Amino acid sequence: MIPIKINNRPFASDLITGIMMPDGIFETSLGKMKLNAHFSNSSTNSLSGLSIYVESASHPGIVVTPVTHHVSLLESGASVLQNWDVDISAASAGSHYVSFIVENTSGRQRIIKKIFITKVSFDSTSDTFFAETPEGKIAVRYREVTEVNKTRCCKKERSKNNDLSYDDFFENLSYTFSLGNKTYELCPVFFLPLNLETGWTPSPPYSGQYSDLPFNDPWWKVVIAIIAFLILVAAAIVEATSGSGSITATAGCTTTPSGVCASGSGSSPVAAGLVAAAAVVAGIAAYSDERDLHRIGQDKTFPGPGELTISESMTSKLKYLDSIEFGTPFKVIIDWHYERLTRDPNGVEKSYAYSEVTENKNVHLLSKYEIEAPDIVRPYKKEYFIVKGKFYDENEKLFKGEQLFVNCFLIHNKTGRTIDFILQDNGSKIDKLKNDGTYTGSYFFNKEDEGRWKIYVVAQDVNHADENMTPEEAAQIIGGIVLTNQLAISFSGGSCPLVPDGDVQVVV
Amino acid sequence: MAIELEIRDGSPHWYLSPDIWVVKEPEDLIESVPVAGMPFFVKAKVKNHGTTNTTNATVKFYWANPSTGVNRNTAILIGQSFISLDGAGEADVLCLTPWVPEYVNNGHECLIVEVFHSSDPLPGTVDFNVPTDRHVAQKNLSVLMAFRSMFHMNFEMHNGSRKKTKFNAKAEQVSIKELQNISPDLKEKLKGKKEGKLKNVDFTNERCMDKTREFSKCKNDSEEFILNGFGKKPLAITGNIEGDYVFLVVTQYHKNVEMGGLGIVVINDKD
Repeated sequence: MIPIKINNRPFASDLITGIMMPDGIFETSLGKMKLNAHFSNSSTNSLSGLSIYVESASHPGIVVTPVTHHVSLLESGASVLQNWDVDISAASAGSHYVSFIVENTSGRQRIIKKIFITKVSFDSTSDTFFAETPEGKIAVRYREVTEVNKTRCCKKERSKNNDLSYDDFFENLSYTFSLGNKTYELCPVFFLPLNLETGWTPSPPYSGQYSDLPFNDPWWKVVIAIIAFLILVAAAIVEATSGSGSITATAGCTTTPSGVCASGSGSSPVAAGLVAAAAVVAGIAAYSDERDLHRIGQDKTFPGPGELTISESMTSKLKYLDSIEFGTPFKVIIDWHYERLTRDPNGVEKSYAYSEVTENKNVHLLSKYEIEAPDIVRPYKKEYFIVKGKFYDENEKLFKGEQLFVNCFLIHNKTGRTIDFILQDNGSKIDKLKNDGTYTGSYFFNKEDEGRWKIYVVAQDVNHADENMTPEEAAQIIGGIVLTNQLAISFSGGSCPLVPDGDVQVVV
Repeated sequence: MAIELEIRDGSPHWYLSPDIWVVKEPEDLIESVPVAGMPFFVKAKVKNHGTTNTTNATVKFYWANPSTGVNRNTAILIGQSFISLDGAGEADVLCLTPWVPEYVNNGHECLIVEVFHSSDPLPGTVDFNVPTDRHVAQKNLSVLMAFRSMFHMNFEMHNGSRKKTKFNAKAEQVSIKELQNISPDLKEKLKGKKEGKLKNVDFTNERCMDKTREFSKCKNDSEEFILNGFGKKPLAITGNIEGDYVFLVVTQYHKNVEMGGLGIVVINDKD
């Protein structure tokens, strides 16, 4: 048996934006996604000549494109990130398993890990999103959002890109999403929820004070964050299939009925991905990592003996006190009202309610980060473009190894073409030292890549919940939150450009 | 020799592959006997007889009701896996999609597993052609408990051909040694028991042989029957045994050519 472990739950990233899904959860409406996993050498010796592949999945609807990755050397304590294309459009919502094989001449190891899959749908008659989980159904209806900027909107004529296979969910969503009597055309522009209703229909109705958690792990807010992510990724897809490719990242500002306005966006998939990630971090911060507001609602309401809770609902009004800036402790005030509906054995229904105004802040923090990359690259001299990044947590301590998922996106100034690759801290190939906090990645440009490219290095934290934790404990650890602040959403009007981490001139 | 993938057939009974087995948990190394309604996982051992490494070969796992002559249209896909092997390498492969045996095939394993690669493809036919195609193997085994030495089992016979074909079937006792690989569960069931003798067996739907039935009229050969192209026929055997247990095989023939078969371990339930 080879001493290899997968310490963190394998996670999903979106193919278009390259961004990790909230808490790494897979979503069927996205169809094709990437399955990522960190493989760690748990022995005291280096391992060489490793082959790593996905052997099988527990649901026939999880269709993996088979690839065997080869790792020439993995030092003791180092982790290597590998990924595979998967199509999960036919998978059911729930907890599923994937088996990985790691082998070399000294042996073979099978590692079976859990993944989570959601299935989000949109009912245009009620303007409600639904997310199915084995433990129940979550409903989300936005009553008010920061308004979409009408000056920048999607092209009416959309060209189909056959490489992108997303289901009708997005096609429908792009045209039908509306709030009250207002219809919004989804473009790669930003919105934040200001007033929303969420519902939870447990399956089956339960006795006592507490329901199971969705998937017996993530809080409800993670599933709600997935819905927010999807809405904005839908916009990214529209852009990817019909957009200009420009990375002009100004969106202006439009005042909403509640008096706040938001700005910031971008028309490249990367920008749209970041915008989606901003909606995620805002939502996660508002609803708190430590104890979900929905759970607090259950804490504060006590069903009577013999009563079964048949549904729960919550209305939330959010006020953003600070700019939504990744990696910073921005504050959100949430005025929320929770209601529990029960039914007793005689069929009599009762409701219990609790209200509170809470101030929460983002806890996914980065004190600073440093990116090192050359200004000029000459592929004709066989020069590789090497990017290094260091990321410091709120205590100025370096993130290391498998703690982060780091992507470098390169966007061509003229064509808008995007290239992405992963940075790792594993001491193999171009990364000099394992777990030293320097994440390194490289790309070899060719003749067609001449010109100036903007560099964006996006770091996201990874869910590191231990498998032996209780669902309640594991749910407090959330991953997939962007930490690097290339995009800040301010509420002061004006425009918020997407700020690159640098640029490089490719000379051919 | 490039890539040459194989899942071993049974010998002498090709439909009793020793390299297909069922486990209760994916990580289990010990084989189990399946129980209806419970999830089980199927594993198979794949060998690359070639000298070239193979990466990402596909392994497909199927199940079928107790039957003979199943093909890719009538078998039900459980799931698929991938395997990479060095030249002359072998390894077991797990299907992580669980198989839940249905009540109709309680305790019965009709499992078919095939392996292929773009450099070593399957022949493009609907038939599995288990005995002639090294890519495919089958395990078609039942474990029955006899009540007062009497046993009864329903199964199906299939016509894998598109043409109307005449078949017959035969049931006969063989040594338990011909079951190359006895699972620990089955070993436990047979522990301390002695191999007995098949007394009578007949192709009949009657579940019980009693005094009204003359044992002497029992025939271990079925009548000839005709099946339409891709058709199937329900059959049943009833018999009694002497001693603790017997192992018998039911073989489907077309013009004396073996088309398929299933193995049945009958254990006398004296308790």
